[in-house]
Amino acid sequence: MNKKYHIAASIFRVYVAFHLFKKYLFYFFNRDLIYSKKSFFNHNNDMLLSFFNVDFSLLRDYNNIILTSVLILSLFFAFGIGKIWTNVALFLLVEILQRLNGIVLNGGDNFLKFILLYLCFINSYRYFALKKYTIESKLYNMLSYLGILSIKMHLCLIYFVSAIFKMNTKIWFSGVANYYIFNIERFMGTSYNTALSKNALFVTLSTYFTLFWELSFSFLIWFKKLKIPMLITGIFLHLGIYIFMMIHDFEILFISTYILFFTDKQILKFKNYITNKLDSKQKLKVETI
Amino acid sequence: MHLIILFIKFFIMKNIYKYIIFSCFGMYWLATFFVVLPNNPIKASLKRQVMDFGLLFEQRWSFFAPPPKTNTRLYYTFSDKENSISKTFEVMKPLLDDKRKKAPFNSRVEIVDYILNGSIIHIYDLVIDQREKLQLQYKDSTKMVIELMARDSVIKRMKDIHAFKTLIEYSKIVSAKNLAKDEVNKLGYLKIALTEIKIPKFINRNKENPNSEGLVIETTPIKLSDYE
Repeated sequence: MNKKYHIAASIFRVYVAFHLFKKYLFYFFNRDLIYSKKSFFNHNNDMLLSFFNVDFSLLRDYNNIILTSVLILSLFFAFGIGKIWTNVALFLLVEILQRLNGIVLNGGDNFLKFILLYLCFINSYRYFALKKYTIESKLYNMLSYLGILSIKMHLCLIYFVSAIFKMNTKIWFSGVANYYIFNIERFMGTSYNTALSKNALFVTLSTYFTLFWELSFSFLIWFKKLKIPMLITGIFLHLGIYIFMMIHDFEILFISTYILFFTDKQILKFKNYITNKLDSKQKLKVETI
Repeated sequence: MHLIILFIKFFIMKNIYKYIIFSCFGMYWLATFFVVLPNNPIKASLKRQVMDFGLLFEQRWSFFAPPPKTNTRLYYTFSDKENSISKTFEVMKPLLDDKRKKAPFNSRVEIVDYILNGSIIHIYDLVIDQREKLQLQYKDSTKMVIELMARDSVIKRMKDIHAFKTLIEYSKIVSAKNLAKDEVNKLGYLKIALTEIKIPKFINRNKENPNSEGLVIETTPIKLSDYE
């Protein structure tokens, strides 16, 4: 708990705010399809909201107000305005919007909900906020640490559970799953998918790589020397899915959580390394002139 | 002794907030772990608690496990009021081609894709569910008979199934896009058919034209005036 993640948490908060703003801006312009009663989508009422006797009709009628609120709060969140209260409000509104129409959601939206929940406990306002929160509090530091640990644990859980479900299916076990995945029209991101799927070497290697990487991530990520290779291969895996499977927001959100594996010390070390490199290049230029 | 007890009490009280936080943290993660694991005897014995926790913290992480082995086709057949002249349109392939062409700026098409495919998957699940129930009920019946009964049972309940209502509503968009205005006004009946095109087995991947399209479910003629 002595390790500090203030910089990573702050950068992550800004990214999540941007992610929310972009996503719900698209939803705002397409609200006639997603939330409106006039949409061709025949809504069924969410169980949890029904339990609280929520008036779905009212929520659908005023979906533009909810969406606008999310957009404004996302901007506040990016600048650290309102701090935890903005975070809590965002969590509740995003939860309502997700429950109003669950059919348009994917795994990224599912993880986003938990990220917003855990961020409520994290001090991500030490940097990149209009009014930085610099007060040292043992309780807040502990909650903050547990919040960041929760995001990392949830990421590990997602990969691990995904892998064990995959292991239980014949086509993943026999190394041909990516052949079928590359031939699913819904997720055929490029015209190269079909050609790649016919290559036995590519299919087998990519299938097993995905399986073993997901299975091992939860264990190997905690080792100092293996952290960076695991994260780099994760970035390539998610970018591959982004390009070849047309799954966009989901992949970038998962990649963005990787920053939480770096402490303030490590980020500053990296920043100093880059700064020194640039300075030495600048000096060389000046000397040659 | 009295002092020792006092000291222990003071120490516990001072750190009680830590114990509460760590206990909550531990219980939350234990519950999360149980909810996401595959079905097992412990999860089955705590079914009610798992369901309640899952209602608040719903999550599913079995991505493409297994991946679909088929591609779906959605056919709309529009007929006039006498149910004689009809025109058929397939909507899934053009939609997905459009989704690929516009990627990564394909949000609207993607939303339509998710709504339609989500509804189709729900219908498939209903057919599978019904099939399993009928298999238990009619153990001596053949697979073909069970399949027909399952489909029939789902179609009979069509008016109460949200997924079917979604597909029927979408048909209005399809008809407006593909038919002339006077043709749309003359429409009386609609048939919806869901088919699957099998992705050939890996071993047959290089064979010419190996795809086979099979019917999953086809509705009886739906009177469009019932859904205006």
